[in-house]
Amino acid sequence: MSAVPLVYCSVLALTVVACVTASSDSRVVETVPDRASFEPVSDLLDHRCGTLDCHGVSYRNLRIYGREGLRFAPDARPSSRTEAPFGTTVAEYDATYQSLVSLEPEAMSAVVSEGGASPERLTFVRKARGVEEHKGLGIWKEGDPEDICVTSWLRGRTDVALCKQALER
Amino acid sequence: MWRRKASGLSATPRGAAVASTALVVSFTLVLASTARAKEPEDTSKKSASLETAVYADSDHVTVFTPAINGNVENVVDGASLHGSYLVDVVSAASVDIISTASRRWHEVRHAGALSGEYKPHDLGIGFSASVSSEPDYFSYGASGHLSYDLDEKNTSLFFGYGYGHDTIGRAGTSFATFARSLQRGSFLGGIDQVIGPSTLGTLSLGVIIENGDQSKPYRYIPMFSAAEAAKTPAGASVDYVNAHRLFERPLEQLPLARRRFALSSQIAHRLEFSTVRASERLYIDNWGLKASTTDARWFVDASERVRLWPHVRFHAQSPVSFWQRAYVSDGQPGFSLPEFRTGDRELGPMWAVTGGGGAKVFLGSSAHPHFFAVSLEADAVYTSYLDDLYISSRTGVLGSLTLELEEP
Repeated sequence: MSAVPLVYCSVLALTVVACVTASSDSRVVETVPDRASFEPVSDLLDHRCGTLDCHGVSYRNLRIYGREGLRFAPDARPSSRTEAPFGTTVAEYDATYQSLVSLEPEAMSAVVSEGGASPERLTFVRKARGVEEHKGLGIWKEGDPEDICVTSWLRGRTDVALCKQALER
Repeated sequence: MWRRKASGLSATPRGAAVASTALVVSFTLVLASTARAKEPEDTSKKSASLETAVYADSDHVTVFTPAINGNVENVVDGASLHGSYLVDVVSAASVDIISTASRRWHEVRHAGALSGEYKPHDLGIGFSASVSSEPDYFSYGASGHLSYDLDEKNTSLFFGYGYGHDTIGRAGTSFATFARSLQRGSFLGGIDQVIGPSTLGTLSLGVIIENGDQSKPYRYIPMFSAAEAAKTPAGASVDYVNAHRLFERPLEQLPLARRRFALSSQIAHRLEFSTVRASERLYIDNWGLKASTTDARWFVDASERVRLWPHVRFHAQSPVSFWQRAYVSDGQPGFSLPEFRTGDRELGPMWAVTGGGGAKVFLGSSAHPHFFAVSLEADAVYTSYLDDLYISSRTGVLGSLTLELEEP
């Protein structure tokens, strides 16, 4: 029995596959939540998640910068004071924002594009709510002021008052 | 998928090994009682084996695998059944884990398989089914195949189809909270051909069609500016990457469909006191990965009871089309990111060489020397990663000890 038909099929298959490859140049532009209204949210994350033994570590996938933990400037130190130069800087807010919104670009784009619907599609929301394995355990429950602070920001209407209330809890 | 994190050790290999030994001992007693009792003629041939394998490498990954196998040949004329069960106990603190400030994790995987074939004459039909379970990954599959002998069994054609379904989750999280699905359809067709009085050849083509998101849910990809990416060296350390990367570190994202093709050939030739077996596999897929795997073993009958074999293997592959050592983010606004991005070294350019060997000793009685056998096999593998972060090579060792029982 000749194996020639099998070889022909193999060559054809290999030729077809060789022409169909995932593009190496394609890029995705993420739909991101608002940066301007992020700072109250960042202050909350810095306070609840940004300690130096949690997300205030530069090795983490999610890095949280702020006055209470990881500082951006080499000569800056953690501080309980909020006024300049001790408080969280604009560069630190930017760094935390970039780290947070780009963790899951596809999921974040979907949530923001849909007006903040189903935020539990984002891993950081699930982990904070305690419904997913998290070394820091559950930080707050769905519907808590902290949770509403974060999800209101994802909806594009940050509840600043609630974020400040959550910060003081 | 034992490359991911888990919260803690949930089973002991010793327990699995004890259970396996008990099963084999029980099977031995059944064989012995069967031999003594007066029963109608039983033409079936039964065998069982207990294997323990250990893998360890320089990237701080260790795997312990006890396994049991059972076979019944010629249950009725031309029918056979095979079953197996194994446990993978994984402990890992690889550079991918420590680069994110995570600690060593442990995970246990259970896998079972059952297969059978019925071939009373020239036409045969067979099936197989398998299931695999670990804390964050569940997989099951089934397949069927046909075979047909021609030319007085000098030629055998075979063709089969299989379906597999994987559920990919995250450790410590229920599948209801987070899960992705991956479906897999596979085709395999080929020919076994007697080439000469002592030579058998096989040629086959395998096609695998995968649909679903098989991106690792734990793997985050460091991003760099264009200037930094150009300067990032191969094998850049964890400290270097964290000092030079941007703040954004997105999850791995792979294409949602994969089409794989593999052309395999094997030849076995019997010499006077030995058998040489060599194989070559050419692989290509629509992600752009191309690979070649060459394997050879030389089984030498050192005596009637001792068989030895050296083993060599060489594998080389090109990267997938979207592979980058250092991916570039265009930053704000909008974070223009690579649509496809990965840190899986198995998708990058690499080569690996394996060398080792094994020995098998038959310890049965003079009347039935093959009733009991012990095999020991050991291999060392050196892998070179040609364009990766964190690591440029890895050395691993794999050893196994197998006890086999075969009914006289």
